[in-house]
Amino acid sequence: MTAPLQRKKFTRVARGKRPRMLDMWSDDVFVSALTALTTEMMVLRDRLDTIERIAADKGVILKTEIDAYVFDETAQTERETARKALADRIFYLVLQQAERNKTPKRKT
Amino acid sequence: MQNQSYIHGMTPDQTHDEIARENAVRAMRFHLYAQVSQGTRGYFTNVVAPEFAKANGRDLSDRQEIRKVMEAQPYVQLHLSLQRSVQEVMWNTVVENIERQLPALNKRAATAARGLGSLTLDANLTLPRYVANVDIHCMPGGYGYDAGEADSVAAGAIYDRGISMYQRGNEGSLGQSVIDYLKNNFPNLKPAKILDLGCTVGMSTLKYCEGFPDAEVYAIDVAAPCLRYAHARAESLGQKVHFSQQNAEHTHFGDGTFDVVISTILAHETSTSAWQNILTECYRVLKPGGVMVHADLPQFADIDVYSQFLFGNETRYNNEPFWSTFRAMDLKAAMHAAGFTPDQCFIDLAPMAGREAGFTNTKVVAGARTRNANAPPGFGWGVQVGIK
Repeated sequence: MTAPLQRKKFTRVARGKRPRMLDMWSDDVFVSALTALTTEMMVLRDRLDTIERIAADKGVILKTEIDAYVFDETAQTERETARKALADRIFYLVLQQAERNKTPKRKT
Repeated sequence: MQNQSYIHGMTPDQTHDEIARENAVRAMRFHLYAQVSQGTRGYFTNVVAPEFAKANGRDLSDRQEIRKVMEAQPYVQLHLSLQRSVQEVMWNTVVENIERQLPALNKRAATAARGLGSLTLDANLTLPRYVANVDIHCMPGGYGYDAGEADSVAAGAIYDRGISMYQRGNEGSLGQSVIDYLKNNFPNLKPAKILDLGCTVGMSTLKYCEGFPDAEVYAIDVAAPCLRYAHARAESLGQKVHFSQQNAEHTHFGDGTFDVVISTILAHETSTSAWQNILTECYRVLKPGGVMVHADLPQFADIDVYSQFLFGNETRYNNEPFWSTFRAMDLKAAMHAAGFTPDQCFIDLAPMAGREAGFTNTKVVAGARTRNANAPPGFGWGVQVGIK
């Protein structure tokens, strides 16, 4: 399982001006989020594929099991954490701007 | 974890999803170069260039003019925006992985020595401004990044994963290209001492050990986190390299120390004055008869005008401030100014030892080369060669 993002200690911002490619800064944000989202979907697809193959090797057909599965509280919490981590990855550029905004001299 | 193609003693731990994320980023990058970039070239050839010619009664003539016209096109803007985002997601992927295990990597590096090579750091060295002021390739924190930890390998670990993600077991292929070039053009070369400048994590450096197993190999860089990592990486792979933290513009090596001095993709990350200083320093530390080779992407004059525009994107969109200026420099004149006689220095193309990601739609034309200028077009590394 993907580990939840820890408190960020490493910088995510590269020094140097980030140029604006599209007319609006927000348009570049959407492109960045779409890029990250696409990679995350690929990761998810890989993981599902791995799980299904391992299960099938063990003679378990997962579809039935998945529909019948009941989550306990720990599992719910883990999922919530993972969802937050996913949002952090996808909207990374907004978070970069938030980090830049903490320093008055820096511009987008 | 399985699925890693190139394992060494500093390879970080990676979960299934971290590996999947690297694979996803690589897929995005190949999509960008194979699909999106081809669309940009097609748009230029089929729409932008003919429309300009019709409106102005002449063809687009140089890279600056192409840039001005192309950057106004929505498709190109989207291409550039995607390209920048893929680069950033790539670094996010790597940084997240290294961040969760840096103390363990630092510890591994500190205990990696096997008594083969050596590591000499200089705490008083100041990073030159071309390294300190901008994070080249948009790598967060740059080459000197230590993430606030002592004896840190942060930047080295981040850089290594970033490059390995694309090289997939072909690490150091640029160094191999240099070895191939040297062996083809200087078949009698039997170097006793080799110096690698701006070695970062030593991917190319190790190719020099393999290519010339009898040579003593020295490698320098300005960034301690990269050198700590490079040393540990080399030791774990059983290679003997003497790494030291030095500025290539003014090293501590004595006059006439080396038979061969090499750098790979260093030049375009320096500055006009720094590169001149480095060439002069190369001349000083070379033995009489010694050979200097610097490999980088080709000069603008060696590629078609559309590729010049594509190459030039690196300057603004990938934090490569010197990239375009370097590609227009008169390198033969610079080598001559450094001490090499005009008949003992030249610019050439070195065939690529492994197919690199990116720049695949570059067509090389005879232009800047002062040697083999009539050779058939084909993509290669631009090399600056000087014989003392």
